Amino acid sequence: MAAPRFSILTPVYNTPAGVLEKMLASVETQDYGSWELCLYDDASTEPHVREILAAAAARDARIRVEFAERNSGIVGASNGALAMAGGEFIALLDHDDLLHPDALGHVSAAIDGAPDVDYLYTDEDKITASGQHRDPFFKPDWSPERMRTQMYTCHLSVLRRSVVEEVGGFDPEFEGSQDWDLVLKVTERARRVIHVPRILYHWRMLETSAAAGGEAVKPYAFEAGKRAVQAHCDRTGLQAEVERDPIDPGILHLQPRLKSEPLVSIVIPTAGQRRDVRFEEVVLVVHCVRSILEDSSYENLEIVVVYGEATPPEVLEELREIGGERLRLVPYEGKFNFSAKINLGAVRSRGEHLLLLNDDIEVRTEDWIERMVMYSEQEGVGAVGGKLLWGDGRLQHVGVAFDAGRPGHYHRGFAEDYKGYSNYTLIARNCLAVTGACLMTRRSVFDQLGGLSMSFPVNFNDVDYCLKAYKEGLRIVYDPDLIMYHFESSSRDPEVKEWELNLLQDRWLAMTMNDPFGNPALTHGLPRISSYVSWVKRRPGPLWKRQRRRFEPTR
Amino acid sequence: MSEQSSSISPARQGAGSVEFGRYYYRHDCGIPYERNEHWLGFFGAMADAIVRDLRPSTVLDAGCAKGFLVEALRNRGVEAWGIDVSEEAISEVHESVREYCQVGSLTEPLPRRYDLVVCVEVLEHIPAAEANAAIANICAAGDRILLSTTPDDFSEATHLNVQPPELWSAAIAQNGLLRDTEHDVSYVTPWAALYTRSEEPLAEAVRRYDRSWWRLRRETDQLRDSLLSAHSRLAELEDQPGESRPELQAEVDRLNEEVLKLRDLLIGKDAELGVAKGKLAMYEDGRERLENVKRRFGKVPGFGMLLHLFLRLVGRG
Repeated sequence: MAAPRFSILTPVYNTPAGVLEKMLASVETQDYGSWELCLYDDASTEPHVREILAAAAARDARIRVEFAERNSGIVGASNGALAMAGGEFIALLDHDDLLHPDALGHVSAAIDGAPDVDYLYTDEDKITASGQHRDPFFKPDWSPERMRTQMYTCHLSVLRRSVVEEVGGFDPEFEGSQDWDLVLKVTERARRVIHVPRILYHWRMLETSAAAGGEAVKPYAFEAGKRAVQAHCDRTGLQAEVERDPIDPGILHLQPRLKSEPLVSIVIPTAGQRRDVRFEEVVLVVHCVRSILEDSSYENLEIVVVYGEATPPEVLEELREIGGERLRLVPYEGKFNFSAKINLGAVRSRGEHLLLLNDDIEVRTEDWIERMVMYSEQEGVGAVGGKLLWGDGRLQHVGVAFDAGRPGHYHRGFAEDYKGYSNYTLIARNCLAVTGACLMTRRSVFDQLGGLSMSFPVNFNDVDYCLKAYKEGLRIVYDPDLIMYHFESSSRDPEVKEWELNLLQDRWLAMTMNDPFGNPALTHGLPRISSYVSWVKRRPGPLWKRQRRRFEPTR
Repeated sequence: MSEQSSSISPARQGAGSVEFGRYYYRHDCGIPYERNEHWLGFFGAMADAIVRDLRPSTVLDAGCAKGFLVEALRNRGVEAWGIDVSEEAISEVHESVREYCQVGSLTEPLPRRYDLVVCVEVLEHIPAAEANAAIANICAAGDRILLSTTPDDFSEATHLNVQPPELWSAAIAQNGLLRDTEHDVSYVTPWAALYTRSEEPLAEAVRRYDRSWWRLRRETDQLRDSLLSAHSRLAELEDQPGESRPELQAEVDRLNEEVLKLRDLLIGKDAELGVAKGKLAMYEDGRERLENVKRRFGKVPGFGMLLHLFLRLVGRG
């Protein structure tokens, strides 16, 4: 394929001279040559801007400048720059930020590998006024669910120009969050989205730019972001209302607004065990069913309890008393096999959605089923899970992630309000797997995937199920606002046999070796120390020290 | 197959050879009526049945068309002749029986008598005014007649005289032949019938007809009864919800579980195969690189021993 041409869109308005010069230089020193810089001066009042831009256009034919007669705001200026663009792809560069010299090279290499890509984004960091690099942001691969609660792709964004024009360019209705809106619209129809896991963009923190953070700088921008996501939900049929986080202005929350309630079958396998819950011994399954019936707002549900032979008859009697019409008891005979119990419960139930639940769960979020149904109704979603806490309120589960093929629960045992890296626990995310202790899936998906695997009688059947779904192109969703208590014994790890892990890796190592929703620079959800070193090494030195190098993409 | 008349208007007679010309045989007989496996097989089977059940020594195929039945009977040692109004058809008769087939009309008296006269799908092509003459001629030519003529195919252009079976039976009875109720000749067509010259008294004929009528009537009654009971059983099954047939529901559940298990097995094995292939490619790659190193440095003295020791050390020797 011929090397694609990039049109870099940069609206300019009253940029400090030094900052503007550096921005221009960072483009001019790109190792990849096929670009054009579309500068649209939004009627700057500072005289030096016009001089610098005119000089730049004079020294390089690829730099094109247009001067507006009157100020039209960021959306108008962006659309002005878009109108100048002639390349196959557009890249968004703000007037005070810097591109890494390899940026376009790496992006074009990624396009080479996938000619049908419509949107690409890279990792980024921030740069202070004095040129120090801060806050590297190592991002996950394309996560549509995350995009609804956090504008995480941000910089550098590269979009196919034909698609941008199809959706009508930058929308003035979302002034301040026009890029979020644009990316949402483009990805709704994108054939493929690619993440380039390298820091190729440096976002400058000036007092007047959003990178410095805080609502005080651009309050209207955050409100516009909320409206953009709401419009996206309405377009894609996600039955949700978007709300802003009361503390962090960069985070949104989706509240379910279901138009109808499809039948949900909750499948609970049990052996009728007793355990201490908050210093009081209870029969777990009775406690669980009572909690579901008392604390859930969802009406249209049936509870299928699959009980083992050891279950005492008085427990079943008590369940019948509590559950009444909505309860179905299914006896399970034979050797213990968690998957077999779940599959048996699933074939005996009739709901459109299946909710797999352990018997040591207690409901905390009232609308938990609505939340799961909201996601599960989406065509592309295979499984939904939430945030699980131990009885003492510490984190037990925030989605399963993989480190070199080994599944793990990140941030296990941390305090409930621990945010994790880049608000990991606070935003909706896609991940490779969620725990089967509380997992919703559509029945059609369950049937298609063959249910939980009998090859995993005790551990990893939930992880295996999610990986099967992921392999079929379905997404796994973690919802941070769905919070449940999980009275898993926190004093010891569940006993994992070596062969179980081996079998899991024999099946899925190709997918889990490099977790697509992690980042090569992260380990256990946090940046590894060596990644700081390589990140520092990779960033460009002072401009006068830099030499032109031939670009060679490295793997 | 074919037929026509001689005593109708000249225009109509002229059309005779056109009506049963190439177009008719190609398009109006279902499968094109020509020398092919289907028609040879059909007439071969008919000839077998005729020889087996009726044992005639001489046969006339009245309306023989291209003479396939004559040919098949001759091959089975029966003296068979054929007659047909269509010159086109007679001209295509196989040479082995050409001398036994000739052009002629059934409305003319036939030259001699035969043990059996076969007349298959012919009478419906003869105009009603001439049908009685043709039947009289056929009946005069033999004591047994195997007759088949469609009772309900009105749509074909050359079917001038489609009548229900009882009318044909009545017309033939006028010539002294009655239906042979003992012989089943449905190997020709469902409506085919065998007529035999009979001197039997009226009472005997009635007894014979009544016997077969009664048998059919009983058969119909019993079939209707069993159909009705099957219907009501079906309705019963449909009305019952799944839960009220626990043994059936349990079986369905068990099978559903089995299906889940098999699907999972398939997906799992597929994934394992993918990973195994990936590993294999990786090992191949490593082996290739090792070979390259050996090739490049193999000639250096002592290198082989060093490499060997190194590989032993890392456990790959």
